[in-house]
Amino acid sequence: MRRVFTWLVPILAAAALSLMAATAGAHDKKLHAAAAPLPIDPGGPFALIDHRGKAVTDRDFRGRHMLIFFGYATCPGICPTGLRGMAAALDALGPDGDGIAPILVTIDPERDTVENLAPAVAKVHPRLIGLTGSFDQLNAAAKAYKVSAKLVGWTLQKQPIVEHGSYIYLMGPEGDFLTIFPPIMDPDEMAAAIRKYLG
Amino acid sequence: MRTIAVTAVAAAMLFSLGQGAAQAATPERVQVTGEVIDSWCYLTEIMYPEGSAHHLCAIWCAAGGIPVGIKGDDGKVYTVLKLGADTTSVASPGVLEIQSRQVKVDGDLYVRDGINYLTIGKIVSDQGIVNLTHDEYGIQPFGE
Repeated sequence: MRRVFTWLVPILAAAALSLMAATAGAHDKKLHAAAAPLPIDPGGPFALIDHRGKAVTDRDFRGRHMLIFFGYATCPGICPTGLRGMAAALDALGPDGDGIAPILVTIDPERDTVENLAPAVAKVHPRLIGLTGSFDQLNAAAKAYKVSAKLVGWTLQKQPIVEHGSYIYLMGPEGDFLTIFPPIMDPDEMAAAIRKYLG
Repeated sequence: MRTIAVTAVAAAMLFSLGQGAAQAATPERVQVTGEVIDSWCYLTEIMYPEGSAHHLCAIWCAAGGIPVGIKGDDGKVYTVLKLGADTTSVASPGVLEIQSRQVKVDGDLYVRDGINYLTIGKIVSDQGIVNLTHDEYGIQPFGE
């Protein structure tokens, strides 16, 4: 018995160490333990105001997955595409997606006030949460998510044209980064990918 | 003593197997040759998306933050996640200059959720825009 124990303890210890080494540092370790982690680490604290005028922080979303997109309500190009894709993916998930908080963080605080955001997000999806705030608050959030944004011009209708990152971020219930989706991804494929991260 | 030695060897072998798994979780170093494309127009097929016909639109799309891709000669589409040492943004629009060009790049490949993400470390060669499609398709999306 002692001989078996002499074998077993170091082997189990080595196995445990091996497992720890193989998974340490991977944000999506459950799903992609064998895959290289994406070389980005977006996410972090934010303190903003939602489209109902309520102050919210990242901690208010603990326990829920977050689908986050940075854009602006009057964006003529990629924002409606990305947001509609997010919305369609949520619908495709059905009840499985009930725990997901879909979020638009504006990069245009001047125009995307609480009053303007409320009807804009409602048009996209009844559950879409619009977040705005001061320039400094939004700048901090964009910086945390490694999103660049820059005003590059104006349309004839006096609407801003802002160049900005347009990936959709899937964050875990602890605020941990799980993965990104291109804004042009097929909603059904996005839903299938999200489903793998749930549960 | 013999038992201890055998145990130690077994433990070391098992640990090295685990280390191998950990080391396997590194990106694949690749060299990709192909045309730089605007992923939105290419994947949605809302207009003709390649070569000189689509160059102007591709620049506008990249400036708008739409992910830039490479249509590889290997038939795969790669989504460019980073170019060079840019650490401040995800999908920086700093790829305007190479839109529509035929390039060969060195980079790291990350396959996630069915998408080939590429971080470009170096543009090895840039042949410019060689896919001259504007005579046939006009200048997209604005016409001639």
